[in-house]
Amino acid sequence: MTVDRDPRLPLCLVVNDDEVEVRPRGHHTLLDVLRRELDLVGARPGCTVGACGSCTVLLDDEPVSSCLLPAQLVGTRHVRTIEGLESLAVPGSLHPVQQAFIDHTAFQCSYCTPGFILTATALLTREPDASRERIQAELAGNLCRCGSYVKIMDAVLDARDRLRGHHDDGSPYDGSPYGGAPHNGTADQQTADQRVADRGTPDRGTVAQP
Amino acid sequence: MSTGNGTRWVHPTSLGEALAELAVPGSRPAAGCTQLAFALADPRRRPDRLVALGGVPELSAVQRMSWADGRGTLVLGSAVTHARAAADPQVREAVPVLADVFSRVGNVRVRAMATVGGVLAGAVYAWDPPTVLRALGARARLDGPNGRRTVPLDDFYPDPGRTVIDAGELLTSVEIDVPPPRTVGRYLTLKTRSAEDSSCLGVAAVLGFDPSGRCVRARLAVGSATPAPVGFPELDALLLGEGPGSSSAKAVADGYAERVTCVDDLRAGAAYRVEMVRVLVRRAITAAFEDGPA
Amino acid sequence: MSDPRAKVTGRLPLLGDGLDGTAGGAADPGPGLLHARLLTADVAHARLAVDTTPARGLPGVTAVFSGRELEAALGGRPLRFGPVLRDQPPLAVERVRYAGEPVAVALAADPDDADEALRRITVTYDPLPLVTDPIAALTGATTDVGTSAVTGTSAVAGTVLHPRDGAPSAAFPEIRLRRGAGTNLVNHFVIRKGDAPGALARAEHVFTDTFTTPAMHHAALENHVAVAVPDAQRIVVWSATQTPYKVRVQLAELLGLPLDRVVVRTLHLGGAFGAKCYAKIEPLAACLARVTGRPVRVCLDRAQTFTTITRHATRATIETGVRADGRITARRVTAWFDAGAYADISPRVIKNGAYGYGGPYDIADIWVDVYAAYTNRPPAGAFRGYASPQAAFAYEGQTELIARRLGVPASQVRRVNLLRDGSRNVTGETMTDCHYDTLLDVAEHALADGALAGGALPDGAPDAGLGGDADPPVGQCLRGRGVALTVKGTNTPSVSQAAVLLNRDGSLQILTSTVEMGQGAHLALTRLAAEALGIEERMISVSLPDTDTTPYDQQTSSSRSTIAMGGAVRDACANLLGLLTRLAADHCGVPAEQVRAGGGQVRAGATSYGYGELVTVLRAGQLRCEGAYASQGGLDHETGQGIASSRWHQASGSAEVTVDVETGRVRVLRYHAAVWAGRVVNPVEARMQVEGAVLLGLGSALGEELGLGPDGGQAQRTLLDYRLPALTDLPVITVDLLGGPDDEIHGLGETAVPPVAPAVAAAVADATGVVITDLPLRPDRVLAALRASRGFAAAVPTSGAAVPTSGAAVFRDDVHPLQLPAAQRAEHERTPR
Repeated sequence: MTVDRDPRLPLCLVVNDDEVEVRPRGHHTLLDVLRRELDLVGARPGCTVGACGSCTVLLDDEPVSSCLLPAQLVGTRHVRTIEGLESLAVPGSLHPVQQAFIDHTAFQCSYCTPGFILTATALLTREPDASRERIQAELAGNLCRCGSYVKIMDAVLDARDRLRGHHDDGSPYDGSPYGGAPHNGTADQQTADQRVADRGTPDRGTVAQP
Repeated sequence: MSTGNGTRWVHPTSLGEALAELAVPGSRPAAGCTQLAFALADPRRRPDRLVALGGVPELSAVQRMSWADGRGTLVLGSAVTHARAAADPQVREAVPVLADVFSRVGNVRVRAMATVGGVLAGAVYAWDPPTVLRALGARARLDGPNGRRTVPLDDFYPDPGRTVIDAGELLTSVEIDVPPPRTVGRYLTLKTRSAEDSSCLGVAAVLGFDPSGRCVRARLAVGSATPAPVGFPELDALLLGEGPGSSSAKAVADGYAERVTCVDDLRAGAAYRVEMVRVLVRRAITAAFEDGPA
Repeated sequence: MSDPRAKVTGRLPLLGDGLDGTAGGAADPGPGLLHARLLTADVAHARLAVDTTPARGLPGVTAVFSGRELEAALGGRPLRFGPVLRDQPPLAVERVRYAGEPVAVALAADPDDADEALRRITVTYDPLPLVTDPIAALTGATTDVGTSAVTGTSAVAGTVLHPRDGAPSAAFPEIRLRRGAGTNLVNHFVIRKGDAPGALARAEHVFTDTFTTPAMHHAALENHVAVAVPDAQRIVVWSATQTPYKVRVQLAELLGLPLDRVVVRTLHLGGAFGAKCYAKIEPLAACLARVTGRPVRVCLDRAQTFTTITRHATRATIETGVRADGRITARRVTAWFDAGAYADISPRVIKNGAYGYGGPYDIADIWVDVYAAYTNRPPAGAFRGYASPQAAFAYEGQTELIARRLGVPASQVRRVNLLRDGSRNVTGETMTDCHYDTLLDVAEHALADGALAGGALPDGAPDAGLGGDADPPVGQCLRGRGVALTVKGTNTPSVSQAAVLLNRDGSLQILTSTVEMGQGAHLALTRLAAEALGIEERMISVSLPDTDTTPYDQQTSSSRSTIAMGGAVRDACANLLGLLTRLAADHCGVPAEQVRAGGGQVRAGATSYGYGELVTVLRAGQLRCEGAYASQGGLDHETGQGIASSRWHQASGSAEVTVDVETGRVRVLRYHAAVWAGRVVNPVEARMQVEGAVLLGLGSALGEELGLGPDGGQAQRTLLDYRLPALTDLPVITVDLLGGPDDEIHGLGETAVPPVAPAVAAAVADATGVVITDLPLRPDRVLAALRASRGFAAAVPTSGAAVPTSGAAVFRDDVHPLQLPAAQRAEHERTPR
């Protein structure tokens, strides 16, 4: 039987495990509802054409662009935003993917960060053994203009291993695919110094940072 | 709160209801909404009435029909999402090149919402799956007030940006005959601005081989660079009887480049695209031949 | 300082948050917030008539204004803003000068109601001749819509965008301009060092080459947003701006208020990259708040952000005299920067461009002329790198060309010309702290490991099969490596002030107007203060900018904050230690010389206090000390000689690429960035700044460009049509931060941007023998350049129509580059659905 919804009636959604009543207009997107009615602002407008991923939320555990999804189509599917990710982990603690982003400083301005974290979480839930190439391809739909991609890959690979139990001590993942780029400035600087020294043209002050 | 200009939604729960709702003037079907969202966001283009297809079970099925003679047909409901088409075991097993193209469209978020019907009915030349579906000889099934009809994809886009779907009609499924054993499908794309860009050009090659490795069936399609996917069966036929190391690949590629009409857009100009048709058609054929005998 | 937890939980305070609905976010404007929605122009140049009558009185709509109506509502005088020339209206008045310019606004408590009002506004346009090319803008030629062909050279009525000159702004009172009234010349910057014409006449070889770079979009993911809150006496403007104090000046002069009556506050920014320097939408928000007496929020959508500010498109012709060994003896540069429809900061950008064209090279005789011209494109302004990337692409491209023509290695051309300590640079400054030899060493050795042609892909390089792209296996592509060496200046002279507040519990507040937009400035300031005072970083917090409470800072830009604001914070900390010393001496009755403050303790004779303890004992409430940093310099107006920059940001880059000779596709496999970092305050964030700069540079090298649509408007206005580098484009990036703890701090925000595009182009040249002189290195452009080179004629099928191309210098013959046909047109299709 066709349901002809009276647009004046509230809509019931399940957001971060809670049932909520919202009153979107016909053209309102899930992003509109989250930000205007529910004050969940971790999903952010970026491009509003589904290209940047800043507004990513999980719909039944799969990432979608909330800027494209009409609120009227959400139906009974469960919406999870970055604000609801913590509840997936031990209460009060961050989700392992969030923690990995902190440990690797996988953000600069962080406008894109919730989208990356949710996309990575969905992937690692679906494919716990996702390869580096899979991660790269899956996260390629999220854009970071600050250019934190190197660290984002480090963080997601580390999160994958933590979630698989390989690194449950929380130590930073050291198997970086990016030439073993270290997590601080020391090693590369020493490398450069070494190269300079090898040529016998030591420049003033090319010593390692503390 | 303003009252005007509201978009009204209806949610039919059967195909019959959906067709009845679509008969109401001003109604448009809505499935994944990844394209329709642009119109919804624009107050000047906002639709009056949308018929949500997600609650219609007939449109969300993936089925494999088997015929008495051993042939099979895959039927993808028009509301099946790209993600589901890409992951479906029957699709992956029977037509891997189709699963492949659906797994490469847009990004993971778009694939979670965008539908098989939407990507065909949208008639946007840049989109990839119609090119592969054309090479596979797929057919679109349309249901409407005057009943049901089936249209080969070769005839689905009569003009650039237009489909044969009539007012009140709904694209309900896509049928793909399961290719016989020893069929190889390849889909190559060229991207010009970023690995995440839409295709500047896509070339699909579906080639069938006999046990000795000779080509016995060949269907190519070129898209994303053309106003709609195109193929030239008489050129494809040059590949028949050819084996590994075929010299016809170049002739076919040159033929496609000669006959194809390409578009200018922000991804590349038409002249460049024509040259790339020559390159990618040859590469797609070569790749398929390399896989063929295996 | 931002808590990293806030960044991974989506709770970082951003101006756009909370204000979408009724709940107050971190910026609480109080009750009655109105949302402003903008109607923007469909055409690029026209006389304008706006009828807002049909939009008035709609339910929920508070007010509707055209540009003229807004001026009338504020007393009738013209409303114009701009950091140098006040030439830009908040809403177009009488004339629209670029497609996308705001022409009307509707205000409503519910943004949907405002949108409905916009639908009813009618705008009629009476077209004016289009000016789309800066050279044509200065010669009076105009452009036919839909082509890029110059159709005439005589002046046409209506082609001068600003017949009446904008008044100067108090935001940059020191800038002197060179311009002709009643022309499209925004500014002409001149450098005259030595006698370039004479030296060129005497040179052994003279090479003349032209390079172009396209306009670009900053693409900060957070769009422009501002909220203005009026009260009887003052106006408070919350803005996502990099320059709160400059915006304050601009708003005060626009509204006719003293500076103290205007308050500008910022939260964290979701990226900026120069787009958020100087007033953009703040003037409109402030005017609307004044007129309505209610808080007004202006938040642009992506399409509007796309046309708010861009990076300058440039064309530069470089004439360089060299000896046979590559030593440069003379250079003359003429460059045109497309300023777009309003001056914004173009007058200053071209100054940096002008001194940039000298590069890191010692050139005795160099003359530079850079022209910024008004055109009917969106305004261009500050963009990460500030003209240095455009200049670097040109001068390093010519370095490659000179080397090939002389038959010497490019490294030799660089080496014999490097600026070294004691050299005099392009503005005649005697150089110190030069590290170009080191940077060149690093660049040349960075990727030297591993075979080139046919070698396996480096681990982590973009995979040939990814996304099914059609490149042949890497072994079938040409492979090459290239190097670039660059220099960038910083904003000089420059002033920063800071205050530190010591509390009785020993905690410290840093009051600063440095804007945090992800670059890590606040963390660097924390670290510097912790170090200066000998206390733990967790005891320190950093304010967000608020012109009511945080001291003056020129702006957060130009890679200057760690140096300039860091200097001010260190000065404030030193003053605090001095104050603690004096207070402890008085309190304990000992001579000040016997008091030692530092390491968290104040020791006065036998007595020792913690900092907080001393505040408590003294009943001082809170101790406050100010600090300042000021750099000196400036260039002579007539000669461009003087001190252009208080620091020189020095960098090199090395790129390894593959080139598919059949498609022209370039892929960057590896990139090594080296920067002279001096003392690194914050290694993790410093490295990320460099990596981010590389990604930005790769976008500019390979794909990003803003073109012209068939209607004369900007073709790209969505992130589907303008593609940013994604994770699948990521090469293996390695970084060297050169320097040591005893060195001066150097800026890092932009330093690594300029080498990227020229290094990639040099690598393509290494692979193919063809130096391409236009960005970006689009496949069609690369293929055309390869085909124009005789060396490739045999390898590539030559049948078929001519392929669109533009300039490329080819070594193996003298084929002239083809002209670029107007092949591109706007598209309205979208990404596959």
